[in-house]
Amino acid sequence: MAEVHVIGQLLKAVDFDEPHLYCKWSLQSGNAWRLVQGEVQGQTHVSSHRLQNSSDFAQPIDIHLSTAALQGWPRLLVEVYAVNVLQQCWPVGYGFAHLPARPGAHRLEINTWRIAPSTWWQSIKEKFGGGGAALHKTDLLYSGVERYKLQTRSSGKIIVELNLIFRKFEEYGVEFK
Amino acid sequence: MYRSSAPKRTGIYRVKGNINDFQLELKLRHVSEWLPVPKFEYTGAKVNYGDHYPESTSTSGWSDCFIYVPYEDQYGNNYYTYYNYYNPGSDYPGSSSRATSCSSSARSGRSSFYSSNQSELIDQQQKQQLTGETGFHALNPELCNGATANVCISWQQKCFSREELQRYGELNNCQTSLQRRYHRWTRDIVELQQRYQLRVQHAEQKQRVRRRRQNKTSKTKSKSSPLSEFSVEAPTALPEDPDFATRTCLIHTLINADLRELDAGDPQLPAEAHELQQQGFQLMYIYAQLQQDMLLLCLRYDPACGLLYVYPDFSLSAEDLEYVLQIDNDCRQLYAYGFENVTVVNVLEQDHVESAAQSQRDAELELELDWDSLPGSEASAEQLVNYYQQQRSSESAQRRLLQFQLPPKRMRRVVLLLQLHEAQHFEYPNVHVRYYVNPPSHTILEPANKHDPFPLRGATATCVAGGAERLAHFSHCWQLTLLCEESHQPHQLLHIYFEVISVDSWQRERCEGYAHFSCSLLAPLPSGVSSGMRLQCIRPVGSWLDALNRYFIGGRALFDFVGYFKSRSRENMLHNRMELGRQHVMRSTGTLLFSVQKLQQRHQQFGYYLLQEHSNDDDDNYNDDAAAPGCCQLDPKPKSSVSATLQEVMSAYVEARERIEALLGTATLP
Repeated sequence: MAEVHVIGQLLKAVDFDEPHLYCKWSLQSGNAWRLVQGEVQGQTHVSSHRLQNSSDFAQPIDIHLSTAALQGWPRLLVEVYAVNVLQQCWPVGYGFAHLPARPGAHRLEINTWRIAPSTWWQSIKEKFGGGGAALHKTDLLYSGVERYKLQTRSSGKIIVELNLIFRKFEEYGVEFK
Repeated sequence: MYRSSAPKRTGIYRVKGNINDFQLELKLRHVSEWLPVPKFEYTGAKVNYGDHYPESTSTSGWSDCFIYVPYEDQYGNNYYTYYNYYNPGSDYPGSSSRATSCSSSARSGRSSFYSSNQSELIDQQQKQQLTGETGFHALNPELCNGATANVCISWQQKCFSREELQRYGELNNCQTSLQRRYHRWTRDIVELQQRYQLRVQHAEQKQRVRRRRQNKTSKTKSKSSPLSEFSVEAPTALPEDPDFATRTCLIHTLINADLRELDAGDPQLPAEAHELQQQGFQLMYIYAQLQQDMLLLCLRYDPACGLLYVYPDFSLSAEDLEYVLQIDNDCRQLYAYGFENVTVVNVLEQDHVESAAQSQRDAELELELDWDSLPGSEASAEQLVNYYQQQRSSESAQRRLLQFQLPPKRMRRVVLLLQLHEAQHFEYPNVHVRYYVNPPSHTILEPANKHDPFPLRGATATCVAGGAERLAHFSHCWQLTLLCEESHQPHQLLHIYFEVISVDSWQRERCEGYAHFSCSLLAPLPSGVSSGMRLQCIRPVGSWLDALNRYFIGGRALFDFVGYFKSRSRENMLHNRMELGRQHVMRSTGTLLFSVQKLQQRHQQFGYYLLQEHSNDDDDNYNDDAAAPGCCQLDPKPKSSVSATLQEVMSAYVEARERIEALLGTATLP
C-alpha cells in the first residue's frame, strides 16, 4: 500500500466578521484509505486578534495515511465557529479543499461559506442575538445535483500550511503531473 | 470406526508472504456404512399397540417407533430393515420399498393399515427419494463406492458446482467478463468429463467382449453349478480416476469475485458474507455437493492485518478426516472430511536470485529480500533477530504491494481533482455554477459514487449576495476518475463547461456567463492550473429585446454553449458585434477561480521492484480483481519480452476483445 504523510499546521482564519473563532477540521477520504497514525480530525482553541481581522490557530497536523487506491483522494473539511461573550457558538464557515496531489510544501487558502439566513428574523437573530443557521445534516456539505438549492453566504478564509510526503506511489505506477 | 466430529474452532493465522500461494488439501469420504446406531423414527403417539393392549385388533400393526437395524444374511450380504420398537416381528410398512434389500420374510408379516391413498403417496415419495439416491449414486459412483475425494484448492480458486458448470457452459448465459472467463474454464472440466466417458465406454466394450468369450467357453464345459444361473451380472469396472472430485464437481467454491456479483439478499450468499466484504475481508467458501449442498469450510482473509481466519481449523493431517457431516435424508448419511495447509514455499534457484539481484540492486534497497537459508546453530542472537526482521519486512512489503488497485493492462487511470474556488464580477448576485464534464471518447468513467445518476455534472451551492461586487465563495471540490488507453491520442481533450446562473429574490434565473476548460488526459497540465486559474466567462450579447427580456422577465435563453465552444475551438472563426448573425457575438462577464490537479496511474506488474516468481495462469492477470488466483504472480520479464505461445496470443485476443466491448459499451462484437 502507498503511504502519505501529512505534516503541517492549520495556521489562521482571516476575513471573518466575527472576532472570536475556533475551527474544527477533519480529513475525509475514500474507503481504500486507512489511518496509520495520527488524528484525522481536531479542533483548535478560540482565538482572536486585537489589531487584525484574523484568528491565529497554529494547530499542528500530523497524519500518516496508507491507501490501496487513488479513489477517494483525501480532502480537508474545515468548520469555523464563532463564540460570543455568552459562550454561545455557531458555525460561520464551511470549506473544503483537496490535499495537494504533489509532494512538498503547500499553502492552502480555503474559502469558506456559511448558511444564509432564510428569513428576516433569522438575520436579525444572527446579527444581534448570536447564532446563525447551521446544517442539520452534514451530508449536505458534500455533493448532489440539487446543491444549488443550498443558500450560502461568503465567509472568510482558512490558511493551512502542509508538507506532504508520498511513499511507494511510484511502485504502483502513479505519476503526479 | 465411526466417531463424532472434532470440535470446530476458528483458526487465525498470520499470512507470511503472498496469500495467493496458499493451498489446502481437502479429503472427503462417505462413511455411512460405518453407522452402528439404529435409527429411531417417531411417527406420533397413535392408536393401540397390539402386544400391550389385548383389546386391539391383531391387524393393527400401528406403532410409533421403529428401529433401523443393519444385518447380514447367510451369504454375507449387508441388508437393513426397520423393526417395530414394540413388536420386533413386524416391519415398518413404509420402509419396505425403500429398503431395497429387505428380506421377503420380514415383508410378509407386514399388516397394511394405511389407506390406499396414503400408501400411494408414500410410494411416490419413496420413488422420488430412490431416484434422488440413485441419481446421486450415478453422479458420484466413486464416492458412493467408498473412494476418498482428494482436492487441492488454492486461494480464490474457482471450482464449479454442477449447476454452475451447466450455467457457464452456455456462452449465451455469460454476460460479464467474469462469466466469460468462467465459460472458458468450464471447457477443461467438460473435456475431462468427455475423456472419462470415453474411458468408461472403452471399459464396457472390453467387458462385453470378455463376457462373450466366457459364454462361449461355458457352453463347451460341463453344466455349471446352480448358483451360477442366479448370479447377478457383475457391474462394469469403472476406470480408476483419482481426481474424480474435479470431474464430478463434488467440491465447489464460492470466491470473492462471485460474492461481488451476488446481491446482498441472494440465497446463495452466506448471511454474514456481505457484511464481511464491506469490512474489507476477502472471502472464500468451500462446499461439497452431496445430497444437499454442505458448507465444508469458510476462509476469510483480512488484507489490512494479513490475517487468515479458517473455520473450522486445519487438521494436522487431511488423512485424519476429523470433521463429520451428517445429512438426514431417508437414512442418515455420514461423511467425514479433513483438510490441511499444504502451501508450498517456493525456493528460488540461486542463479535466478543472483541475476535478479544484479538487475534490480538499486530498486531493492528498501525491500531487500534474504533468500538464504536459516542461520546456522553457531549464529548469534543478533544475527537471528536480523534474519527474521528482514524476512518479516520483505513479506510485509510483498503483501502490501499486492493490494494496491491497478488499472487494467494497457490502460491508464487518470484522476482529476477539480475545485471551484470563487466567482466575481457578474451582473447579478446570488450566483451558482453548474458544470458539465465531457470526457474524450474511448474512456471509461469510474464513478466515485455508484448511486449518483449524473456523475458527469453537478452544481455548486448558491452564494447569496455574492458574485457581483462581492466575492462568491464556493469551495466546491470533486474528483473524476477515468480509464483510458495507453495509446490515447493527446489531441483528444477532456472538456469541462461551466454555466453561471443567478437567481433573484423573485426566483428569476438569469444566465450570467459560460466558461470552458479543456486539458489533455495524459499530457502534463499547464503550469499554474493546479494552484488556480481564472476562467473568463462570456455570454451572448443578444438584441435589445433580449436585454429587456433579461431585465424584466429573466429566464435562461436556450444557447448551445457546448456547441459554441466546440465550434470555436474547431473553426477558429472571428466574430464581431457588428455582424448580422449575432448569436455568436459574446460579451465578457465575470470570472471563476478554478483549479485542477491530476494523477496518472499506469499498469505495472505487481511486485515490480521485488524478486519474481512464475505465473501459470495468464488469464487472471487481465483484471484488477485481486481475488483472481494468479493476479499477483510475478513475472521475471516484461510481458512483451516473453515468447508468445499460441495460447498467449489467443488469450491476448480475448482480452483485447473484452476491453473493446467495454469501451464501446456494446454487448458483443460480431
